[in-house]
Amino acid sequence: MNRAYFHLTNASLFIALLLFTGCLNSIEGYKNDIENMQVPRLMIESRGMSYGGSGVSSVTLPISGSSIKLEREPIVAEYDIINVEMVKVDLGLALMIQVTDKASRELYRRSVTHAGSRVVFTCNDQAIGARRLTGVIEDGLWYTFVEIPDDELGQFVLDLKASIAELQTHYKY
Amino acid sequence: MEWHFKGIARKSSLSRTPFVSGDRVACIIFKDYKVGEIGRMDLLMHEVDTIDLPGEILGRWMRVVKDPDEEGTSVRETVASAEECFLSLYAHAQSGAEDELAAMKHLLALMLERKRVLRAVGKRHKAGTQSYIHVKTKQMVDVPIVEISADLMLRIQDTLGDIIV
Repeated sequence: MNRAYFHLTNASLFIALLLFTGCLNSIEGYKNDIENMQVPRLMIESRGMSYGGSGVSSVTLPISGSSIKLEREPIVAEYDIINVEMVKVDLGLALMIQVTDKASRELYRRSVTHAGSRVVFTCNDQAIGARRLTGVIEDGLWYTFVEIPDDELGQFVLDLKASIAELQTHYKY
Repeated sequence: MEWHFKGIARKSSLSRTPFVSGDRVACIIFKDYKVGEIGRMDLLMHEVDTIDLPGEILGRWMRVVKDPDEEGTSVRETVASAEECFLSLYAHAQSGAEDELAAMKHLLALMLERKRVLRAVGKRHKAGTQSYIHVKTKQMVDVPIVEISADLMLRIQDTLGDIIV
C-alpha cells in the first residue's frame, strides 16, 4: 500500500514537473514572440490648475526636448488602441491611431473639454509624440507626428502592430 | 462672448470680508447685461439673499473654503460642485444668455459624463442636442452641442475654475 502510494506520488510529481516545464517553455516562447513589445497610450496634458488633485507626472519628448505635465491616467489605454498606421502628410510621416468606440467617445469628450491641451503619444511610458487639441475629434482617429527618425519609423510601426495584436488577444481581460 | 475673469476668490465679492477656513461660499455665475460679460461672484451664504446682481443668474454652486496649507479640493468635492452647477443651469429661465448657457451645459455635461454622474441616452450625437440622464435623480436633460474654441475654453476655465473636472 505504502509502495503504491510512493509510486503514485512520484508519478504525480513527475507529471506536475512536466506540466510546469511545459508552461515555462510556453511562457518563454510567448515572450519571444514580441521582441520589441510596445505598449501605446494616449495621455493628456494636465491643466494649469490642480483643483481636481488627481496628480500629474512629467514627460520630455526625445528630440524636441519639450517637457509636458500629464494627467496620471491615460485617456486611451493600450487595450483601446486597435490599429496604428503610418501615413504621409504634407509635413512628413505621421501615425494614425485608431481606437475603440469607447475610447472614441473619450477622445471626443476630451477634444471638447480640453481644447488647447496637448495629447501625448507614449510607448512603454516614454513620450514620443505630442499634438495640441485644436478641434473636435469625432471619428476615433488620432493623427500625430512622432519624434522617431523616418528610417526607423517603419520598423517601429511593425512592432506596434504586433504589440497591439498581442495585447488584443493574449492580455485583454 | 466675453467672460470676466475671476478665479477663486479669497474674499466676499459683496462685503470684501476675507474668507476663512470652513466658510461656506456660494459661487454665482451671471450675465452682466450692462457690460455684456459673464461674471462670477463668491459670497458668504448669508449674503446671497442681500445681493443685487447686475444681471441674471446662470448657475451656482457651493464650496467650502480650505485652509491654504491643506491639499486642494478632492475630486469628489469638485465633481459634486460641478454637478450642482450643471443642474442649476436648468433651474433658472434666462433670456439673452443662451450662447453662454449652451457652452456651459455642453462642457459640464461632457465632464460629468466622464465621471459617470450623467449618462448619455440613445445615439451619441455630434451636433444638435444630446439627451442625458442624471444617474442619481433619473432627471432627463437635453444638452445643446455647441462648438467651443480653445480660446473660449480658456475663458470658461478661468471663470468656472475650481469646478473643472
